[in-house]
Amino acid sequence: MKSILKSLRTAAAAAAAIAATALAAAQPSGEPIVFGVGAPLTGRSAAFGTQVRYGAEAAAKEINAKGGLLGRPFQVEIKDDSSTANEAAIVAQSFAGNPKVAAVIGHFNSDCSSAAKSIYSNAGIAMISPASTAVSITQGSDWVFRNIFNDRDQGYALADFVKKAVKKNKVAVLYENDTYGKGLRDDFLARAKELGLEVQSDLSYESDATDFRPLLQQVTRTKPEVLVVCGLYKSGGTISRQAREMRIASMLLGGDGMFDNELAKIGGKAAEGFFASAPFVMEGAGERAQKFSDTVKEQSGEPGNAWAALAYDAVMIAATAAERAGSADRKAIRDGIAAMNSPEIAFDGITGKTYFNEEGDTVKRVVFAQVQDGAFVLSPIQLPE
Amino acid sequence: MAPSAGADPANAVAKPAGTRLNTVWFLWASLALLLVFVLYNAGWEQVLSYLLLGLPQGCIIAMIALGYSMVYGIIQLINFAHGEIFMLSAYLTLALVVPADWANERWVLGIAAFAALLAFTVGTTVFTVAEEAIRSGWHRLALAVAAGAAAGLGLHQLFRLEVPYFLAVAISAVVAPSLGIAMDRIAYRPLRSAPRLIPLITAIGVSIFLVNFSQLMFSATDFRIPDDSLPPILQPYFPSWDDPEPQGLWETITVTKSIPVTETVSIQFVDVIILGLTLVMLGGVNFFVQKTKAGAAMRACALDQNMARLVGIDVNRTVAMTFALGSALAAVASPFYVVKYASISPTMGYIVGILAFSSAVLGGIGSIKGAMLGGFLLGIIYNLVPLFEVTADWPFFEWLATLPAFAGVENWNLLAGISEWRLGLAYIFMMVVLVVRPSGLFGQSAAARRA
Repeated sequence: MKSILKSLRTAAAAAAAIAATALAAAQPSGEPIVFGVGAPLTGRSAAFGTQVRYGAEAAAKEINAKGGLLGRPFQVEIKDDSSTANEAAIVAQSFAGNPKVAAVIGHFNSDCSSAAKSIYSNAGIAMISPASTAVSITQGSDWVFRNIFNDRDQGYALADFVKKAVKKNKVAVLYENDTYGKGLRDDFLARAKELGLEVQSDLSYESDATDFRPLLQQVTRTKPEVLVVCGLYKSGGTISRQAREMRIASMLLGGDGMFDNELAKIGGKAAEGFFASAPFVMEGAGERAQKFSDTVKEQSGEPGNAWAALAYDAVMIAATAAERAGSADRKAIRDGIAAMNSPEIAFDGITGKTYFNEEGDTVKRVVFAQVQDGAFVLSPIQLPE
Repeated sequence: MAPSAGADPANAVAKPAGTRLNTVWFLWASLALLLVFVLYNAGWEQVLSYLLLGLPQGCIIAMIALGYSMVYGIIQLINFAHGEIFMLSAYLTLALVVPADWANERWVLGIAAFAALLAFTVGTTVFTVAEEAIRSGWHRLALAVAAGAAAGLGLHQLFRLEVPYFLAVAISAVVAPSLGIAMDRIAYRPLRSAPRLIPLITAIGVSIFLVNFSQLMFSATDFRIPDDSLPPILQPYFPSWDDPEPQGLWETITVTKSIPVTETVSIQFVDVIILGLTLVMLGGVNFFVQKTKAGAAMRACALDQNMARLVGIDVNRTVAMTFALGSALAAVASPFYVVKYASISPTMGYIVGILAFSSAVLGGIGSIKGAMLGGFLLGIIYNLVPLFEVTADWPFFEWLATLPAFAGVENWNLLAGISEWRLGLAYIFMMVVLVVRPSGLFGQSAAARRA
């Protein structure tokens, strides 16, 4: 029932969009081209998934306003994977089994993309994940792409940031004992070794820990210059509080799991100055990004953030591939995406130029955000070009 | 709740002589050996700094554990909903300290529902405590007090008064007992004569109900008492940087809001307050139970309810008093726990509750002394474990490294990663104690109880 309502709503929205733009541009006609969007609209990543929906809807509206895709009306069909691998597989089955769906944007969580990827590969339909960073996602399949960096690039970037951007040498690592935290920490340590950083301590914590003082007490023994936290924003906020309380002066640095303003809310004044690697920072990214954010706010009431921008770009990449191939065939779209393999023919989106390597990974710069006055903004310190 | 503990001569007679005593001594001796080993290797200053981390946490756990232990002592019920009283009193403190955000519709509804809940529990409490008076027409009193409580919270919200933190803690310590008393009156008293399993399952039900009720009231998002609303002495000190550059320079940090103990170790004000408060509260409870008439009634009920009833003790009222006492302790502990450790969320009581319940079991459930000691022990073990993360610079391992047999070993941080196991190790300690002494450190065996 819920899904019927949802698709009705989507259809109604699309119809309204078509009606609204009918007078402005050449009217798209014929059978609509549909892209599936798998995102967590409920569950622990619901806030992220909602932004993905906003981004995808904004892209669809824009395409239809410009006369549709290949002269045909364009639709996005959004389905909820509720951040669970099980649901993601069900969503993937329904997209793969629907001949009208030409390409898929999704999923958000790495676990979900992982579960869905073989289904899309077997059905021969391309997927572009705007958010999954686990290294293995794009491996072993020609049909899987992502327009965000992977955890290896990110772990390497964190080490590079310490060595080359802030020019520090002594680091301590705290990592959350799960796939994300461990993977990020492993890649960070590998790169740190190459760069000759001095890793003074390397400590792990459980996902539901709330008291990090005993761990931080170990950190205070060696007085590292940078404390790298590989985990999610909730523990990041608490760690920054407790670290500052214990008079740990180290610079605080984390991965994209820290990139959420909730961190600043939990950490309060202690989180000021926290650095996090990010796929893209809306604030300070220029006029085009600002305009996009405003458009999303107009359409949905909430300003678009980096996740909306990445989802928008992902839809546009697949649409551009179809445009360039001159066909909305599943195979043609996949080939079109794979053909964007150099900076010259890259897709120029809101989050910057996107092009893919043989694996399907994006060769994209990792940017750094910093907490200033209680929110993440683009950091004044970035990796040297 | 048992009047006296392990050293009781009756206890010793009831036990098979010798063997058990030896195992207990073996346990203590190995613990002492371990402590000496750690002290020698890590240095006493470092051990002290970890002990100072563990102590406040132990205090808070001990205060909650007492609530479990006292209730168990008197009606043999494990009140699983005790953690939820801890959680609700944190929300009450928050609602008092932070002025209402009227723009947030959800918060307004939440406060209204909360006020209704409090009015209900306060009303029930008055009915319970003043039952005879009510029968002679005093029921208006109950209604008036209940309405007063709800109106108080409502007016406070309406005028957006900021209640000072310590006053809020005091108010919540006065109001929270009504949660415990109402819980007993509604959920447990009707089941007093039922088999023990029935109230136990009811307690789990009450716990689930309260968690979900507060999730409906306040949503599942975490809250935190804003730093600005705390009294200056509790406000955490954070160094600030105007630009990111000086970060990483340890020399720029100055010491404030703490009392130096040694050159490198200092204790924070908030820890001193928690410590002092715990000692006062626990001392107070001990005095109340051991020296007052009401305390004597509680001890009598714990020994034999029927006998107590025969000598004229109002058992129901005594049980209600036990619930009230435990709730007050939890209500005092929770605002400090929130300031120091975690944010306020509907599930916060569950995790802490399990820890406190374990320490009550460790100390010997039913024993006041045991609950205190169990709380301290668990808190300290939990915090001492990360000390073993870096062992390469310990003299013992440096000596081992010089031995030819270990020439190949390069990494002497043998226990790196052990901090993940800190909760596990605390529970393993509990299990070892229970294997040796099934009734806990200060608990009495069933045989000794009857003797």
